[in-house]
Amino acid sequence: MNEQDVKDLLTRELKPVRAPEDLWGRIEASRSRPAAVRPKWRLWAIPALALAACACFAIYHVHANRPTSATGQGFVVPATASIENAPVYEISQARTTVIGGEPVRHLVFTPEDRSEAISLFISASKVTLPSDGRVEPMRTVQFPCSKQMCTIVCRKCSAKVVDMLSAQLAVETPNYQ
Amino acid sequence: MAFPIATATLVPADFEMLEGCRRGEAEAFRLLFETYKDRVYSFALRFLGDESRAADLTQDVFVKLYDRIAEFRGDARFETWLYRIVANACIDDQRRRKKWLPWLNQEPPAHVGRSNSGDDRLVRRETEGAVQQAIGKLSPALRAPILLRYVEGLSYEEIGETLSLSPGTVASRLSRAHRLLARKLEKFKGMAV
Repeated sequence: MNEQDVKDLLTRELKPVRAPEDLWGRIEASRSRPAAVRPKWRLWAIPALALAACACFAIYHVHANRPTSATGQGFVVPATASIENAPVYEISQARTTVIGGEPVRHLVFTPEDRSEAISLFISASKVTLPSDGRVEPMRTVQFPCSKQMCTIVCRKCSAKVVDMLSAQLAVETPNYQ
Repeated sequence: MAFPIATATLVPADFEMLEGCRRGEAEAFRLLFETYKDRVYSFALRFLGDESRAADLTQDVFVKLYDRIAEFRGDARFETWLYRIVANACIDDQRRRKKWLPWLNQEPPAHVGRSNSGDDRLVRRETEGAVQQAIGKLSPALRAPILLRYVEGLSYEEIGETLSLSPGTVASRLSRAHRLLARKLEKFKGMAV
């Protein structure tokens, strides 16, 4: 079939069609009705909801990771899990050093049975466990403060350390204030 | 000048009718409807392939026309302006219904003035159905020019004006559509007389 055949076929087949008889009545009826409120909200509701969700997440994210203190001293990362059954360690050594211009608190924790010491390097943004090379973002370590005592629990290994020197820690590392 | 419609592009009857519509005269609008309803409906039916959707769209177009008639400044022919509204409404309607129903299972739209002979009518309906089906499978960018050309009988320039395309682009789209339709309608070769 060549182009001319198509043109002929279309010319023959695509003739105008008569509109339904009742159309005018429908138009008059719809014009006499009060104008429907168009759901314009649909145009902006979805982007607005998405934006609001992003904003909520951003606020939560910033809030959850801020280096701040529940007591005005030290810093707190929200506790999210039970720490009741985690093994308890006590600080045996504590000193502050400056690494890369950032004050880092070096704490050595010794378990009650003194079998295995844990060394933590705590900066404003992360906790480093040099014993096995893990670097945990601060938010993965639970660090609820209660008065002068803080408890740190590693979420991965469940080691729990009791910081008897949180006040001193806060004073010595101004970034934590 | 209260109604700056360019009279050069309108015949006097159209001018009077449009002036009446702009003044909100119901009778003028009724006349406008009677003048253009079949053309609007035909385009919508051929574009959408569904009688009830075409009727709904025609109704919407005329209601919209009634509200927006004051916006017509007479820079272009009224028909061009009207077809632009219709074509955009059809494209929007199809976009809204993301699942484009192929024309495969649809009855071809009822026509007027067909032969009464049973066999002939059957052949006609089959041919018409195949043509509709083939047109329905064209993209909107190709379908609109084809329908404006063959249903409404517009020139390349008028189609270009309606769809905001240059006449060259219109010609190229029509040619592409013809080639595609020729391939799809191969079995009807020899019937186009």
